[in-house]
Amino acid sequence: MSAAQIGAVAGVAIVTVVLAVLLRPYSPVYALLASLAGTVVLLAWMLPYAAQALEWLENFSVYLLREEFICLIRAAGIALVAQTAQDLCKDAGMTAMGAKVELAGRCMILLSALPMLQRVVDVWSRLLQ
Amino acid sequence: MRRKRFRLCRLLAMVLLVAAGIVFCPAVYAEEMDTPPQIQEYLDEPEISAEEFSSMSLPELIAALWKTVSGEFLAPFRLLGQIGALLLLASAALTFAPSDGWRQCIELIAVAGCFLLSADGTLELVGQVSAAISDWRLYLASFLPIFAGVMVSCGQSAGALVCTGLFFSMASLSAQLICSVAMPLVRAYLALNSAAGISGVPPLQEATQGLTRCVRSLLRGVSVGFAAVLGLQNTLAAQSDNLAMRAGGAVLSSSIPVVGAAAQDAMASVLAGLRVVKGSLGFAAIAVLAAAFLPLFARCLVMRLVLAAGGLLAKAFGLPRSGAVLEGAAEGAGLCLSFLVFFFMLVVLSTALMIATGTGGLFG
Repeated sequence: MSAAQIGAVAGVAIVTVVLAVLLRPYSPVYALLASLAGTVVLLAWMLPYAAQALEWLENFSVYLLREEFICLIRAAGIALVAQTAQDLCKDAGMTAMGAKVELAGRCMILLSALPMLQRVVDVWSRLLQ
Repeated sequence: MRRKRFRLCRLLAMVLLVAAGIVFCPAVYAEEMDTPPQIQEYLDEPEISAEEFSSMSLPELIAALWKTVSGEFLAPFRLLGQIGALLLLASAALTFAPSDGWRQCIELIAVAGCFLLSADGTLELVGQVSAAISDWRLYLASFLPIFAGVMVSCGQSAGALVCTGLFFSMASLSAQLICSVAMPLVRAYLALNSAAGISGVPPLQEATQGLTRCVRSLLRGVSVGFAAVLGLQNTLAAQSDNLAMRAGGAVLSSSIPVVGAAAQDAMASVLAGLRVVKGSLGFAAIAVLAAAFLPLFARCLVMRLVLAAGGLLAKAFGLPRSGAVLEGAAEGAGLCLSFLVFFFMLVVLSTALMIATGTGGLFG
């Protein structure tokens, strides 16, 4: 990733923030939509680079069970999406909604890790027999 | 005069017959006695027969040794590779995590993964140490009666009693305690350590550290106590044997009028030969145990180093809870190593002490 691309990301973020700040006194809904649009654009821009990093990391998954690799990456993805939604809710002044999004994200991470935790419990039962 | 000479010859003949009986009778009875089946099974299971070994060339021998070594020691390094890969993936996932709250969730998965990777190796190690100590106890059950018999023929009756009585009891008790109490404690420790890492509760972590300290203190106390008691018993038995032999020598030389000194010298040379047999037997036993001990010792040591390195790697990647779990697993491997070394040294030092005592004093 070059300096120009980092500059472009910063530029999009600053433009989005300025637009949201300008629109907020007149129409908070449009300010929120502008903030959401900027977030989506940045995420979509970053996805190819994240995919390249994930592809490189997948080379190391041959040393592990596929399940652990998938579990870790899924947890990171859930955390990213949930945190984005939580921040948007906080920007709109909906703190309670943001807390519920965070709770939902944590529950989903725990659910995705359940097979691994089941294996941990199985090993504990073997240790304590 | 003739009557005196006849009496003397009769006495000499009796002494020589008794000496021959002491030397040859165990060999005769050994043919008639059957070894117990579990001991025979142990003696019959070498990985390579004597004929195969003698027919191997040097390159074949080196290749066979390398195959054994690589099979034993590549597995821990493969484990280190797996741990490193997991930690790299976890730290990469953490970079995607937006804040500290989410980092805890991702680290939970990393901790569970580290525990699962290390658990198989440590469980296997605990099983191998238990099995090795049980096998050595069985080996001692077959070896000690023979060694005691040789000690009796060397004039060390009290030493033989210590060998088959106190030493065998202590070795059996140690083996039983290690297999029935210590190894389950190690397994409990591993489970507690992983629970502390997954939950992140500080009192639980302190409890695991306290348990390790208790086990190590207990082991230290027991090893000092055993060494002191065995050493004292062996020394006292050796003194008693020396005294008995000197008294016997004095009676022999004084009761036989003309050839008392010659009979004394003859007995001394017979006993010197028997002491050589005793020493050879003892060192053979130590060599057999060392051959079984060294690979397992190396395996425990390598596993401990690998897990400790994994712990350091986890802390370097910014995963302290995963590091604590791996360091706890390394501590568990260290406990297995401690028990293994304790039992081995108990047996070897006691055998060496029994070989070393009673080397002087019969008739000189």
